[in-house]
Amino acid sequence: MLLKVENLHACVAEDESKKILKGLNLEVKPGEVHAIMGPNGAGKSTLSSVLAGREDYEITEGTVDFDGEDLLEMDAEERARKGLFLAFQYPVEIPGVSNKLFMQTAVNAVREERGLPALDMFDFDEFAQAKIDLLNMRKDLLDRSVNVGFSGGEKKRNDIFQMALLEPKLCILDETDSGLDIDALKVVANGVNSLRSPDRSFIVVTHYQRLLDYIKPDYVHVLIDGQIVKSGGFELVHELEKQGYDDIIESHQAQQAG
Amino acid sequence: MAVVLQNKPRKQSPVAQKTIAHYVSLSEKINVQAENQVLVAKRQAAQKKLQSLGLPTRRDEDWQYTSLTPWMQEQYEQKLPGRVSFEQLSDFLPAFETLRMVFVDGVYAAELSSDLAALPKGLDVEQTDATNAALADSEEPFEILHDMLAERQVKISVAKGAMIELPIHLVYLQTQAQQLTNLTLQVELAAGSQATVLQQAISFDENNSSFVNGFAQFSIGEDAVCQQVMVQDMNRKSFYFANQRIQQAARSHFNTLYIGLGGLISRHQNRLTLCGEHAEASQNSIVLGAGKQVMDSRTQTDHNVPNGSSQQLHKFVLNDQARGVFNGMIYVAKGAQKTDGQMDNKNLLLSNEAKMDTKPQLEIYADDVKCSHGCASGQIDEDQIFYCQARGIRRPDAVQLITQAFLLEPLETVGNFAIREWLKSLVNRRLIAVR
Repeated sequence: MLLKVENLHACVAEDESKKILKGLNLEVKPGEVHAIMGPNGAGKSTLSSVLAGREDYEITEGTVDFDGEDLLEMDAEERARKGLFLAFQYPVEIPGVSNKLFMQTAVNAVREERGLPALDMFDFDEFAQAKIDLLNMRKDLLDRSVNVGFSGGEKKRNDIFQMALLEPKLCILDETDSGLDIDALKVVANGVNSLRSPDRSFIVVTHYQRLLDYIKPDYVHVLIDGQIVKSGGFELVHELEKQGYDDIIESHQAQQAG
Repeated sequence: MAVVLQNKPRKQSPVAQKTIAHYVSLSEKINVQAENQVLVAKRQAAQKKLQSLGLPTRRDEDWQYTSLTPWMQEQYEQKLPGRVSFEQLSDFLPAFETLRMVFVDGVYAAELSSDLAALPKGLDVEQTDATNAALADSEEPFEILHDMLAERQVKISVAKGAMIELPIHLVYLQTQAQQLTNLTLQVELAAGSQATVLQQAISFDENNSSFVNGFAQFSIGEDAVCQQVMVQDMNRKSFYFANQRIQQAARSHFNTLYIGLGGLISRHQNRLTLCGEHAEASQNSIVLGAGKQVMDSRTQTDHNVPNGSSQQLHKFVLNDQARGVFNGMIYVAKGAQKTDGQMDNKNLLLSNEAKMDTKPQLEIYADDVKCSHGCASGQIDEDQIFYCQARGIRRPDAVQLITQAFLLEPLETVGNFAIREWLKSLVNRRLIAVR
């Protein structure tokens, strides 16, 4: 088991009355691709943030085991070093820091964790160029400041590029498809597909089925009101597309009330 | 000689009175041994000015945020220079070649300097008694002090059309406690000439408190191009006050960068005048403060003629209880149409106790100009830090990466790659120490 989330409860750190995750369970094995779908406000982004280690949320109950270790005990940077990667819904701009310097620092941080020697400027360039070619990214990507002046699509592609460089064990895509046109969506999906491997897992968090049509997840979960209320295979995506979330929400509410 | 004053006398505290008495007595001592009677009279006039006006207090708008009280606690004086070997000095020097002049405790040290007999064609460097023209003759308190204590001066002249490729490098090294270094510099670029002036004010150790008071005048001829960099990297017990006056003729370019890293209290002031049309000025600051440092950088830019352009970017990073002060004024005279004046001040506060006081100002009397000023102060963006952390970069490294990128932006105005990289290394060394 790569990731095991058990009975996870989380609230907003500044306001404990705002409970967002309410007993969430999830298991991900190496090589699997899981999709998490759900209506707005269900807790999808909170789940991504909590797993990545954002301090805006407080865990009040539950455990998360990542590759045999207690994930919740680790800082955000430790999680990244151990092979967890979050592709952001809104990748952040860092003016003045070149992608090259940013990613060389990040790659070497992860390599340090794995007991590998740091890459110097030349080795890193070679390594990065290979990934740029693989993902068909623009050639000047490394020389530009991190996400500054990038379109929404370019920012998401840059995140996928970072994912390729860091070679993580678990990739969490937090609504990476939001605001993307169909071409950008294809690029992101191709990026994910080209990085799929038996020892790399994905959690694709999304509101829409479009991205999933390209990625074709092994498992689909429906997240409602802080819990996973229904799980299934890829066919569930189209079921949801036809019927929407209303039926599931109703039966969940009835169950809660009963 | 009767002295007519523009400014009103200030009420003085006992410690200020004591300070004035001390510097007046130093000035008198210089006068006793002086032969140049014109200079003697000038020093006396300056003494009277200081005695009448007094030193600034926190009630002076221009000194509201920069208290002189800590500076008044010690009595600084000009001393015989300390001994420094070239090996000791070399730690402070860049790897690239320069035309170097080293001043130890304010006194020229030939054995540490380049051979001035072998200067490139078109460059002339003179060291003489201070001349009338090299004095400030103003009511700015540290300019008055300069005039009171002025003895020797350096005059750098670049001949018409001469291109001086090697940077002219002035190193001001302080080696002793209570050392006063009074600097007088004149730089004249004749029409069509080009030169780079690199200045470095440094301390030999971390403990001896010294006081550097600099006065420099730059005269940039028609079509001339001048790049100046001042690196103030003194120890955190020292004081640095510098006044620069710059006159630009038509179509000239003047580009100045102040890098303020050291000193307990430091203040760097440009007074720049665009006298000829189509001149371009670029004034920038990189300021890094920590501990209890007070870092002050200010500019006065006068557009007196049409079609001038001036640009400014002043960046401060403040940690601990450090305080930063920026004050910039762009003045556009009536008739100075088509002026383009841009001034920006951006500040990053790394701690809750750090403080920035900033006052960008415009005073415009022409009706067809493009002028703007702006300032922004803020803390580091937590989203940026989290983004780095989510890529495995540790928090302190993330803070440094982001801070460094923020602070070094004005370095882009330095065209020479080797100089830029060297300056970057000087700033980064302090930045790592700040962490």
